[in-house]
Amino acid sequence: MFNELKKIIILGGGTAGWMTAAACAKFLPENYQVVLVESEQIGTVGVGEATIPHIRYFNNMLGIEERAFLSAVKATYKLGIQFIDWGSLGAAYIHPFGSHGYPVGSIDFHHYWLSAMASGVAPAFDQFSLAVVMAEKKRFAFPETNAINGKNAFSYAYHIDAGRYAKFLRKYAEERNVVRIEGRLSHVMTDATSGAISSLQMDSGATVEGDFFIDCSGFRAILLAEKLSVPFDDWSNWLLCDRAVAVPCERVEPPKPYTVAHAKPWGWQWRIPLQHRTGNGMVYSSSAITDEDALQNLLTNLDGYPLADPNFLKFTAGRRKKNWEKNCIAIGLSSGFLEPLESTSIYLIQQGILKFLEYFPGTGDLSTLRDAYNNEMETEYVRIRDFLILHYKITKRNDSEFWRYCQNMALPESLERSIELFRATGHVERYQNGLFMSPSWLAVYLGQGVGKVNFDTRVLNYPDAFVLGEMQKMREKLELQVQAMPMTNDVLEAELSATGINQQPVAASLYGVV
Amino acid sequence: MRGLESVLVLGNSWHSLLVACSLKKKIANLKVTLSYNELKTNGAVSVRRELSSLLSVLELTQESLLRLCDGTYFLAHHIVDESYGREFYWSVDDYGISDEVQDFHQLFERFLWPEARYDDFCVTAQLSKYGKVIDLQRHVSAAGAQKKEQNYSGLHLNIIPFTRLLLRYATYLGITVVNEVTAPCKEKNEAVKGEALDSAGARHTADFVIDASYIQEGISSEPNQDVHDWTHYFGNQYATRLFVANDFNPNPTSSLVFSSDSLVNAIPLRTGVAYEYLGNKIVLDKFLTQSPHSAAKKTLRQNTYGCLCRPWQGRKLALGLAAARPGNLLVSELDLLMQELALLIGLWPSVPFQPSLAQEYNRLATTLYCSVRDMHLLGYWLIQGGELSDLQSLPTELRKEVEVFIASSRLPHRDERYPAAAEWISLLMGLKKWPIHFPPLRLERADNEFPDFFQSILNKVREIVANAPQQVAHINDLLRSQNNHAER
Repeated sequence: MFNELKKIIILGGGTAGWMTAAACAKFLPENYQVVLVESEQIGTVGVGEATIPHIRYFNNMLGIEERAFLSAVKATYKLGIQFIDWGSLGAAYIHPFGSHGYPVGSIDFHHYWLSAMASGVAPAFDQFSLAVVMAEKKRFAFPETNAINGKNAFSYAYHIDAGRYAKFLRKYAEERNVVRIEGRLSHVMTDATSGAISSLQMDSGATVEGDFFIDCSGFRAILLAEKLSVPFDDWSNWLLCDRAVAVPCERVEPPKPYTVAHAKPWGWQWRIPLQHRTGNGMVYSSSAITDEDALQNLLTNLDGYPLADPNFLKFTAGRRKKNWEKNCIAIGLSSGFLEPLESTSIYLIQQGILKFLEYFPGTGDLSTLRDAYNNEMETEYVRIRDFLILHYKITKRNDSEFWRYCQNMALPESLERSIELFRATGHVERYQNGLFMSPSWLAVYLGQGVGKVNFDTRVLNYPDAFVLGEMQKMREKLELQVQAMPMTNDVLEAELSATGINQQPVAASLYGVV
Repeated sequence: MRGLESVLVLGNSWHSLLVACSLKKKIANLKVTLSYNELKTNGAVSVRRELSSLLSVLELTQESLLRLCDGTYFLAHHIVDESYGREFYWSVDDYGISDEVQDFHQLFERFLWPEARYDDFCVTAQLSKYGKVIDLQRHVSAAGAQKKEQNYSGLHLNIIPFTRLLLRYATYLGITVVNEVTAPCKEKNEAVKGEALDSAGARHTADFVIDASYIQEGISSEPNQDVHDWTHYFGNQYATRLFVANDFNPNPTSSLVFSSDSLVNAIPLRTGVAYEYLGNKIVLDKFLTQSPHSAAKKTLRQNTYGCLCRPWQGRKLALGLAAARPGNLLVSELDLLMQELALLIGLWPSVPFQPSLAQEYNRLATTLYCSVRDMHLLGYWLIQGGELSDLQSLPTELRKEVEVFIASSRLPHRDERYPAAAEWISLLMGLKKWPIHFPPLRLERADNEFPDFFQSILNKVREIVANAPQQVAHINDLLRSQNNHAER
């Protein structure tokens, strides 16, 4: 049992910590005190330079104006992620923030595409996505809310400087009375009876007491794991990568409106274009390549001159078995880690915060809320996990031990069932909760190639010529629409120099507002 | 792999007719054979959430369907709890307007509970209360937003004309109607078509067999099938149906009247009222003995609840009452059947059959049935007092949902929730007797601005209701204005 919470303590001031502090500052009444404890001596990981459209929803909730945000965090626009060499060497596709094609006669478009594919006459699947065509032509326009012309069938996100985002939110939070305490943590004190956290003892000798604690301490999970002993669910048998090295470099060309994830024999390399630099990193399995070789390979593949020393990270894929224990919630890396292949890190932080506010504990027994929160966060993690594993599983690559393992590894039962259903029927498993819905699964299944896939045979009722004609019309329409759009960089520069407010409609969806 | 060429639909009521018509309408080149021998049932069936889908299948307007099926508009349930002296108009439509930070029900709880009535803030609930109907063409919601291309009311339909209409429509669509099948479909192997013998000894074959029978005996009577038996959640219920012809009932509200030992669902039609009585055997026996309507005796039955564990097995699929009985008072059989059909058409099979497709259908269908069951159990639990000490009698997921709702004012996410969460919340808000906790978040408005905010909603609702016509007048006008041509 707890009394009404009045003092929230956030441990850690990286992206997770300041996003949490900003949200608390915005939504908790003035009689609540929010304190963030951090030490400048401890670096932050700076997760999530690449984001997904949900960040716009989060910013909108906080009342952050887009132009101010773009300028403050050196953001560029993002329409999706390009995956190179994943399905097979030399192949590439884009997983867009949007859908592909449109239903004909109430049958989903991809069944027609699968039928055409079986006949050997299908153009690449991603060519039926407005967001993909825009990305490839480096053009950009804000999505429309009118569903009539199809220009609403996509969304957009940003590439951001995560360090600047944390600073931006720190200013936001401190302006709204969040108290920042600088210092290193010495001890965590717990209540002898309940086992709940009662205070943080600082190196300086100060004591920071609170009613509720939010662990944003990164991989260590000082409160949830080290103090409250919540165990870790290790998923590294499915997601082999356990290291990353990041090096920013000079920007050598106008920023492309997509993130690049380039598969390597030991993992993959990211490239994230910002206004002022390009973020680069290599994610790899330490059993497949040494740190030195991974760094060397990364440096060899940089677009421009390196701008900083390499930053090495060690991690284990997985999550804490509970994200909320007693009076403590872990948000960010302290709650779990999934490699940034689909730019989900900030999304998971965001979900942790929003669910915390939705279930914000009042007085009384918290176990009901705790269980509901933990269940919902588990669903988020597990479904993202399955989607990430899918990228490694459906590949024809066998050029390294890493990929041969991935091809042959046993899958979680949930993912095994999904893939089997898709191969046998062309249907994507349906669920209402979770980040990645049918358009995303289709993008990866069909972008990487999942082998022979059956389809809804009702499409056979339509003559091939009709189907191909419809497809051609769709592509021509997309081409014309995109041709009329300005170049991405022109839009960005215009926005950065514009005055006034440009508040685009937002939704908690990857695929558009309507 | 080839497309499904033929389907044999088994059944004896509007359920199978609607299944056959829907499939033929959606898949034009499908050969649909309907094995049909009408079971004479009377009474009413309601459609609310899936009215648009139904109208699309039938190619009718709402007004035409109302006229052809002796119907009335259906805006809300009037739930009356005689034991606790509570009543509430439960609508599928929006209640109030949400703040940017909190949903309306949270604002209601925060500022208005327990003095105000939740249903005062819902247009269709209020229309229902005053026997009015909405101007379907120009409805403005309480939020002030124009909601076009939606149906703002459902319909109550008389089963007899509805069945006749479907039978005529089936013929029009080219569905072959044969005698009732007496020998159920025999599975041979995947390469051979399913076969069935009808009562005249004729043999019928089809790629796929759909059992949409109206089964009075309840779910546990299905042979050779594992079932999830939910009867114990509902208690030992008996039921009887009764149709009492009288003058046109002016109220566009079906009423659900609960007392300590029985439940009466009354659905008003233009030519009478269809009643369904539920209760224990002693109460219903007494009722039937005293009732002047002797026909009611014939339909007394024990209600059982449950669903097939695998409604789709091989080349045979069960739909409607042949597949599940999760309760029908808060979610009608027709609404549920339309949902099942949407699920089937979304996962339309090919030949040879893929077990994973059936597995996916069964997963989604049983989840749907569980959700509908839980909606009913929630209603029963609330109307029987909503005692927290009785929560243990509910299925685990539902119990946890109620606990979370009381502790946080929100429902946890379900992967398949039917009806929508807003309807669950309005039922909880309309019938609750305990305060719920809500996240103490900072709102967009200052506290002292909320009285005006609430009053503006009430004013808007009242304005719409004041300007709406009475159902009696509206339907009479409608009948007069429409010509008498048969729709088809």
